[in-house]
Amino acid sequence: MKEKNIFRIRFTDIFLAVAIIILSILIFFYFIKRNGYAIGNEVIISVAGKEYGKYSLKEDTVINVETDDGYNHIEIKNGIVHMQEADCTDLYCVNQKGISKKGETIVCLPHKIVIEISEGNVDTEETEIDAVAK
Amino acid sequence: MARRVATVGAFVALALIFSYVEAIIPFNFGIPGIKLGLANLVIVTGLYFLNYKDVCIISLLRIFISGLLFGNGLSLIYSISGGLLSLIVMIIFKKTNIFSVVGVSIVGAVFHNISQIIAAAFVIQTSVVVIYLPILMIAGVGTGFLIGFISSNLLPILIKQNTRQFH
Repeated sequence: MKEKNIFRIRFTDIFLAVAIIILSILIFFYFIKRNGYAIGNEVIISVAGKEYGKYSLKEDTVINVETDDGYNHIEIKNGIVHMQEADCTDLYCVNQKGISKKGETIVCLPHKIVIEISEGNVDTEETEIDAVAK
Repeated sequence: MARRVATVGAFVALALIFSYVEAIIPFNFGIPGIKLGLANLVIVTGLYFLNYKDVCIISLLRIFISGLLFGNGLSLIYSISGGLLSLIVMIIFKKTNIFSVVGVSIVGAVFHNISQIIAAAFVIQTSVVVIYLPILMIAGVGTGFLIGFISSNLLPILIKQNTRQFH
């Protein structure tokens, strides 16, 4: 009797599946809440955990990152960061949509590259300069 | 003993074929980084058909051989962490006797995905990858359910054939 039950879906299985899905949704909303909907200003590129460079999201540019594993061309255009080109094995980073909001990331696992958008202090600097000029 | 070696060999071979199939035709449901984990079908089935020691041997052999054949050094790190964590969690959940094959398969897939995130965080030295946790957990529920469903239909046939042949 007990042996037979092992091969039939039980209530506990469904409960487990629903619990994991609810937990995932809660984690998802936690991340959204933590990041807020703030508009990002700064693009931070890091390679293997070390910061490679910080760039303004407002200036259109193409950054060529050379790592030991290969190259990545990161494009900043009209406030959107996009992986233009890379010679990594899976190309998930290139196929990913562009990012523009605070907390959004593009990760290139094979090359250990993380592109992250942060609030930055580009805007506050500008307002400070404006204040001084006034 | 000879029978045990033959069974382990057959299971490893089958898991390798599944790994190969997934390497050439990725079932990623349109979401990059997500895969069905067909090889896990062999491990889940093995958990109910063989003893735990043999399943551990099968899992490790499959990971090392498929890593050598279809992967690289880095993918081996992901495979080992994923394979071992999911196996340990599946054995714990199976021993509670609360869940069926489907439930055990679901936790296996979910913890496999969680360990991939942990491994990625270590490899690229950043915690930002945890953002992918919710989507990978939900994907694990889906793929784990499918694998568990197939396994729970396969196991009664396997066990029936086994007793008919050898007893």
